[in-house]
Amino acid sequence: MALKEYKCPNCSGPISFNPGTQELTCPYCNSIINIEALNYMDEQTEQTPEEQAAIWDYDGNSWHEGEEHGLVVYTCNSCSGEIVGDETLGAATCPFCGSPVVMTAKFAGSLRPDLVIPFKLDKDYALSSLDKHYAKKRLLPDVFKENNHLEDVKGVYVPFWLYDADTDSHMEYRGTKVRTWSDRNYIYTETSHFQIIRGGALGFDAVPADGSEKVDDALMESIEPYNMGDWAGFNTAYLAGFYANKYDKDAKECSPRANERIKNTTTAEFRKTVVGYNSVRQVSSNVRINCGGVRYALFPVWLLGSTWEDKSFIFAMNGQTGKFVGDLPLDKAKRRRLYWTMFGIIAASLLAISQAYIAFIM
Amino acid sequence: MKKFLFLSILLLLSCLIMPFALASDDDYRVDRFTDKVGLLSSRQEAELIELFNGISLRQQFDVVAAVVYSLDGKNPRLYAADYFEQQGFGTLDNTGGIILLIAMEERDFAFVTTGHGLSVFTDTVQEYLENLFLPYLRVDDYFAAFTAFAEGSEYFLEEYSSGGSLPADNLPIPPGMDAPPFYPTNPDSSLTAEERRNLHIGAAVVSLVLAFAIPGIVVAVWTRQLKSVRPKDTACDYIRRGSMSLNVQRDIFLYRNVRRTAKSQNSSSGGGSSGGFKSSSGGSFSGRSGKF
Ligand SMILES: [Zn+2]
Ligand SMILES: [Zn+2]
Repeated sequence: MALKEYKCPNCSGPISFNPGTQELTCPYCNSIINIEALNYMDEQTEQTPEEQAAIWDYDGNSWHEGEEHGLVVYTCNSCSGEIVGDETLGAATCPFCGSPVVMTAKFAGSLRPDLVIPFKLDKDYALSSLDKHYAKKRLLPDVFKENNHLEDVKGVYVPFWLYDADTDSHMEYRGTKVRTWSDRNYIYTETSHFQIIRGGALGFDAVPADGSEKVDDALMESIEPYNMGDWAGFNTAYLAGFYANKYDKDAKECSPRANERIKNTTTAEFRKTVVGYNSVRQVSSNVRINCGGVRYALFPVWLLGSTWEDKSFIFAMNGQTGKFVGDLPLDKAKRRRLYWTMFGIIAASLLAISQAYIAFIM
Repeated sequence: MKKFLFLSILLLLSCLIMPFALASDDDYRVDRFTDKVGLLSSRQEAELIELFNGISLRQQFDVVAAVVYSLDGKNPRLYAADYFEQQGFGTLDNTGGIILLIAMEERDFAFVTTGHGLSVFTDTVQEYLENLFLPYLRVDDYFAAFTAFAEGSEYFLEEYSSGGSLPADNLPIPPGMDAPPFYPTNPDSSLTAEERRNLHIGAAVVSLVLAFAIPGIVVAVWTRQLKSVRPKDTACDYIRRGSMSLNVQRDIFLYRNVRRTAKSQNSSSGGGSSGGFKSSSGGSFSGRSGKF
């Protein structure tokens, strides 16, 4: 058999060896190379599976005969948001911008939601959560807390797409293990390099994506997760006294975000299976996402709007779990003052203690 | 009376001549100071040879120094002890001697003593002696370092023979020289004035850095509290329970390499670099070694 030509995995120097050799020392960089691994890597390169993202299609269900007759559509003159409510809603304001809305039409068309998570927490709970949200925030302007112009508090059913998926992954990593020892004069550090391969499946259920253009996606992701144990089949009765938003991005349009989140999680989960190394570097990540089912759901959200210094602040509370989020304004002058006060105290005390310690005790 | 005067003069003369007689019979060995690397000018070398010879004969105790290029991987103190014995030093009335040896390849120094020196150069004295010459070695002032070593050694030999104890605070400064770059100021303190000054400056710098950093971290945390809306880039909450299956799990060893770094040796720390030991021929020595 002829000599095989390879490249050193450390320095890429050309190396050759006789068949049957197990290990050899690279003449250029002195690395001890595992020959079997070189052969194996050769075979591997061709058979990595194709990466694939999923695009979910949703056919959906139409409304039951006469079911949507009690529903009306309101349109906001200011932000042109469309809200669905029952006829009892009466005079209303837009949950997104606070302007008055007018009933424009009887509800028609669109698709019937598959499921709904009903509101569990009421308006009072949302208001007291807002107070808690302000508490213990040192850099919140005092004026903001005091003259809190809360314009409106609205219970809104926000449309979500819930995606199911199965993934098939192939991950490659490079890892090192380090051993050190020493004799009288030297410290020796041995670094062993490994190729690490992981492959397998991981499933996801009901990954949500907000289907409403009017509601900020980051705001909705911040109040996740919802507990899917509480879902109920859709019934117009759930809408009484609340607003509902129609989806304006369909299941296909919202797919990329779900893919992104599924890929990130899959990559992280497989990375957790690589253990026992001093350092690990991901070389490749191939995640093939296969569509499962997709459902159209309404999730309960309390939206609270407020304006301060011509800027609007919007808060959201998960109507099922009570998770409350919303960015607050920053009092920069207060921050500067607190910083320099702390600086003065810490600098003075550390200097005094350390200089005295060195002068009198050491 | 005349007879008494004659005897006295004879006695005095014999005292003066005797060292020279002894000196002349050790012509066969190398000088008490040798510089195999050529660190010093020939004039400095001659001066040092004269200094080391003078002290050795006055004290009847071999005070020796040598500069070599490499220790050939040997332990510095053992190398110094073997050098001392192999060159035939320590035979002046068999009182032993002391040697300072420096090796330039890895900047090792070792000084070891034997015989009478084992009682004179106690651990404390060795540490004092090291403080005398090491600062000069570190700044490459070899002439000053060897002079300090020689004169320091003589000082301690005389202190010992006159029954005096070590000075509590000040060590002798070799005549005609400035104080070494650092010098113990306080007998209770192991810190030199220089080290003390550096500590003050260092502590002030660290205090200020902390004073800037700690409030910075605190206000950063407070600022972060105001922000609660963040995209969630993962979907960990939606993993189907028990759905993870690992079909491929391979960890393949590719290659390994070994890096070797020289240990840094602390000159004044005890561990292995000071204390008593035996030379290759079995002679008792004591001494210290380190890097400079
Ligand atoms: Zn190599
Ligand atoms: Zn509006």
